[in-house]
Order: sequence, then structure tokens, then C-alpha cells
Amino acid sequence: MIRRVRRMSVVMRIMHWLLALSVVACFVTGLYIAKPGWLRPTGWGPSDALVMGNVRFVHFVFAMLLDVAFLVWLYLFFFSREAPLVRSLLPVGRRLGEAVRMLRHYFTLRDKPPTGDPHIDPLNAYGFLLIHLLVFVQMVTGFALMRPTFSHANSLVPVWPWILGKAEAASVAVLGSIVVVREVHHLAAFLIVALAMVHVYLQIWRDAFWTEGHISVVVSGYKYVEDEQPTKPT
Amino acid sequence: MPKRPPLRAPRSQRTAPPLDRVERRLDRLDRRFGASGLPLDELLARNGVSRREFLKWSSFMTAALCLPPAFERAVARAAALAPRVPVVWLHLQECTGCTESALRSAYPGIAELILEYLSFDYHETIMAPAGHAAEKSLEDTLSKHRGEYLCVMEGSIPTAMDGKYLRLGPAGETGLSLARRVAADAKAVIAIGHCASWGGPQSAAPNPTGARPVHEALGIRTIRIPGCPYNSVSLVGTILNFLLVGDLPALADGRPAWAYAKRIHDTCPRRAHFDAGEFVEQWGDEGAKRGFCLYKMGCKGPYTWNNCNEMGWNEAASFPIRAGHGCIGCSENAFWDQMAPLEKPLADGGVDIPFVRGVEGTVDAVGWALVGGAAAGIAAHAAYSGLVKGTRGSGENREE
Ligand code: HEM
Ligand code: SF4
Repeated sequence: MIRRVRRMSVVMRIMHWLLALSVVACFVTGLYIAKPGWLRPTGWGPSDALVMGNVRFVHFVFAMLLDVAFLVWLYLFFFSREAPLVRSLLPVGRRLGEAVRMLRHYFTLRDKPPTGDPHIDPLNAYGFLLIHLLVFVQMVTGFALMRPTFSHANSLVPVWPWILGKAEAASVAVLGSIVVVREVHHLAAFLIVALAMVHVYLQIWRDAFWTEGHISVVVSGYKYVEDEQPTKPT
Repeated sequence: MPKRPPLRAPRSQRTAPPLDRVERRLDRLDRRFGASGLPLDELLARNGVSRREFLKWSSFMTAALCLPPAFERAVARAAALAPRVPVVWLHLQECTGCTESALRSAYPGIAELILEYLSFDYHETIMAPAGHAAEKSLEDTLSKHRGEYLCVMEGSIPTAMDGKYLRLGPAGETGLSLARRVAADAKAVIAIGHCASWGGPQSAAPNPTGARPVHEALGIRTIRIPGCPYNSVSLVGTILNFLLVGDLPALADGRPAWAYAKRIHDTCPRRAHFDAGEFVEQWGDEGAKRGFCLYKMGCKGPYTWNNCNEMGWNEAASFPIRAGHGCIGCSENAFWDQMAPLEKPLADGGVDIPFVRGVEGTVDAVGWALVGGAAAGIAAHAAYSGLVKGTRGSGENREE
């Protein structure tokens, strides 16, 4: 019998795609900001080109969307009524065991752990947590890098320069100087992209090898489990 | 429209000190030091500076110090007093470049003149006495002006081996001990240049002499005026501020906020080219001739706070970025370690590869290696799973 298992709420799915879109946009624009090698304005004379200005603007806009997605995710992480991720993460023996089993399964293709459970399996959950932690790092270091650009004079809400100042103080306290902050922002960007690649690959892999429709989880919110011997209802 | 609060100075600077208190303070200083040293009028006249030029300069300094125009007269008075306040200037672990840059200008401005004629009761480079006589004039100043003299320290202090890497004077006293002695009774200690403020190149890794900035080596509060060299306007402004209010100026990262609160990148004359995306790609190319932004040539203006843009150097004639070379970040902590390579953007800067000691890659290379590694891992796993599935048949993987 094929059973539909609900895995992601609407809000979760929207935030997922918002996150994906903004990570890609931030990464591409960030690469330009780091080493502006393409999009060079033509001609040498006076012009009204604003390439770097616009790229930075796009980077900041998607950074803000990313922050919104992150904060909503953070809220749902603890308080989602359907499936708070925090539950898949409790470092209890059983959860850890499941993660190890899943990892072993990826490399042996044997002993597939049960996946009918509506909760996210712990290994995936650890991955999501890591990506979101890095997004948090980008948020704080990004705010720190933005601090000199925004003052009381050009911010709509006065609390904004205060937030940026706190982010700068915190990241400089941890990393030592704004130069290191920028290098960490740069490296974390690549780390996020590398993890995102692995994440996408794993979902495709699961879809292909488990044939449970994993990819549709993030579109429709459901996956499909075939129960040969009906398992206990969860 | 939302109401925007006005651009605000740091809280401690938001209100100017009361003018009458400042005037009373200057009266007192006049009575105390008025008779010593050279009168400024005479000094300026001798160097061909007119009264009018001096007044223009006073209003420039008033604005630079973020004081209202009513303070111009007080600033002029303080400037006249400045050459009379006793100053002890110590040369520690340094190259004397800071002293040279202030004293050797071909056409010294008023700031340089004031510095040149500060009542240097002890300054190894320019004082007449030498050897034991110099030592005596130091001891005299320390006892005669106890608690009143300003101490300027140029250079870092080597702390390894109990400071034995630096021996000064006829008695071979260590820099550490001399600095400690002079700082103890100073009205204030001003750390001049990158070395005294942040440690300088000699404190770059691996730092064999244990060179430390003054505030760390002595464990005291200093006013830091970093730069390699520092800008004489910043020192004179700090001294004027001292004469006016008798206290430290508002500080940003230990540096006078009035001079170091703005980022080079935000006040840069090439900034419009940065925003436009117009960059110098190579020394001497068409962009360089047209004054494009030096970001890709390694300009560190985005990470550097200083007043070079506004104050300029050599009578405000120019400064590195205007002259065509990127900022090297010389007013920032650990610039030697962190801003290098000076002519490459940060993305091409070196980072230690995590977990592999002694190997450096560029920030970008490490990033792409991460992504490449992930791609290779994915490809390997995909090939492996395909293979296993092929040999085992498709039914097996659905076992639970
Ligand atoms: C989450 C909020 C984020 C904020 C507030 C933010 C902000 C910033 C800022 C202010 C800069 C410096 C731009 C400049 O000074 O001209 C920057 C650079 C950059 N950002 Fe972000 N960013 C964020 C997220 C991201 C993400 C998610 C990525 C990539 C996945 C990313 C990749 C980069 C890169 C590669 C650079 C260039 C760094 C360098 O100079 O080497 N950022 N970002
Ligand atoms: S030259 Fe340097 S400080 Fe000036 S705009 Fe370019 S990067 Fe910024």
C-alpha cells in the first residue's frame, strides 16, 4: 500500500525556496563584490554606470530575504506545530544511532533505516542545522561588513545601525579584525554552497534509490511510502 | 515619511565642552607655561606664515575637532600654548619615520611648525645634548614637570627576554624600563605611529622580540595615533584637545574619534569609480590614468579608518590613494599580518588551510577547493551507488 507522508508545511516550503534563491543570489553577487571581474562598464569616459552599486544592492536585498527566511526557520525549528526540527536533533542515543545507520546506508546501500516516520531523519537534520548555522554566520559577519555603510543618517529605522554595530562588535571580538571577518564571510559562502550541493545531491539520490518521492517533499509537502507490511501508524 | 534622526557624533562628543570653562583652563595654562618656550607669533612670522593663514588654520582645526565655530579663538590660544607644554618624546623600537615625516616636510604647515617647536625637553632625534647630558635633561624634566608633561612614544616595546632587545642611553637602560618610568608620571601617554599603537611590522608573526604596542607592554591607557607614518594634524589636534579640555578626546578603538571614526573607503575620491564598477586592472593601464578605483590592486580602504582623505599629507597636497596606490591599511591593528599581500584584494590574500599546517592558499582557492571537493565526492558517490545497484539488482535497495 502506498501511503502519503506529510513532511513539510507550506511556510517551511516557502522559506526553503526563499533560502535557496537568496543563497544563490548572494553567492553570485558576493563573488563579484570580492573580485569584480565581469560586467565591466564599457568606455572610459564619464558614465552613469553603477555596476558595483547595483550588485551590492542586490546582495543586500537577498541578504535581507535570507535573514527573514533564517529567522522564520529558527522560529519553526523550536515552535513548529507539525514537526519542530529540534526534536530530530535531541542528542539521545536512539537519534544518534539512526544518524549512524543512515550514514552507513549511504555507503553500503544495505539496511535502509525506516523512513516512514514523518520526522526528518537525524542525519539530514544535522546537515540542515549546519547550513543554517553557516547562514547565521553570514548574517552576523555580513551585518558587520555593512556597518560603515549605514548610519543614523541613511537608515529608515534607527535600530538598524544599532544592530549592525552589535554584529560588528561581536564578530570582531570573536575573529579579531574586520579583515578576518571578511575572509570568514568569503569562506563560509563557499562552505554553504558546497553543503547545498551535497544536500541537493542527497535528495536526488534518495528520490532515485528509495523511490519515495523525496523531491516532491519540498514542492507539495508530501512524500510517498510503500508499506509492504503495514507499520504501526505514527 | 519616517522621521530620520540626524547624523550623530559619538555620545561623549555630542556636546562641546562649555566655552567658559575652556577659557578659564587656558588662562591657567597661560600663567603656568606662558613664559617658557617661543611665542608662536614670532615662530610663525619667522617662517613666513601670516596671521591670516594662522587664523584660517585655527578654524580648520576647530572644524576638524568637531567643535563649534565659537571655539576658534580658544583653539588659536591653545595652538599658541602648544609649543610651551613640556613634552618627552621617546624613541623605542622604531625607524624614526614618524619623526622624520613631521619634521622634514619641505614646506612645513602650521601643524608641522608647532610640532617642530614643541617644547621637547627630551627628544633623542632633535635635542642638542647627548649621552649623559641628555640623560640629565630627561631626569630634570621628569622631576620638574612631574604629572604635567605629555609623553609621546614612538615605536613598540620589545618584551621578550625582559626587554633586553632594546637598550637606550648611556646606561643601557631597557626600553621597557625607560618607558615605564616616563609613563608613570606623565599627564598622558600618546602612542604615535603604528608601532606604538599596534606593534608595527616588528610585531608581525613570528615576532621574535616579543614586540608589543605601548598600551599592552605597559598595561596603561594610551591615546593611539596610528599610521605609518601618522599624520601630524592628528597629533597636533590631540594636543590641542588636551590643552582645551585637559582630558582624552572621545576615542574610537583607542584612537581620537575626530580623526579615526571615518572609513577611507567612504570618503575616498575614487569611490564613485568603485560604485560604477570601474577598476584599475594593472599598474599604468588606461583605468589607472583615469583615476579608477584601486580595489583590485589591493586597496585596503574598505577596512581602514583614518583621516587621510580629508587632511591629506604634505600640506594636504595628496595622499597614497590620490597619488595612485591603494591604501595599505597602516592605521589598523596587525595590518602587516592581515592586509598582506598589499597589492592584491582580500580574495587573493593568503589563508592558512585549515588542518594543514604551514600551507597557505588564497581565500578564493580554498573556497573553490571546498566546492570542488564536494563535487568530486558527489560524483564518486553517484558512481559507486550506480555500480552497487547495477551488480545487486534493483530489488535489493528497497529492503528495510
Ligand atoms: C545573510 C546576510 C548577508 C549579509 C548581511 C551580507 C553582507 C555582505 C556585505 C556587507 C559584504 C561586503 C560588501 C562590500 O563591502 O562591498 C558581503 C560580501 C560578500 N558576501 Fe555577503 N552577506 C550575506 C549573506 C551572504 C551569503 C549567503 C553569501 C553566499 C552564499 C554571501 C557571499 C558573499 C561574498 C562571497 C562576499 C565577498 C566577500 C569578499 O570580499 O571576499 N553573503 N556580504
Ligand atoms: S580606491 Fe580604495 S578606498 Fe577608494 S573607493 Fe577604491 S577600494 Fe575604496
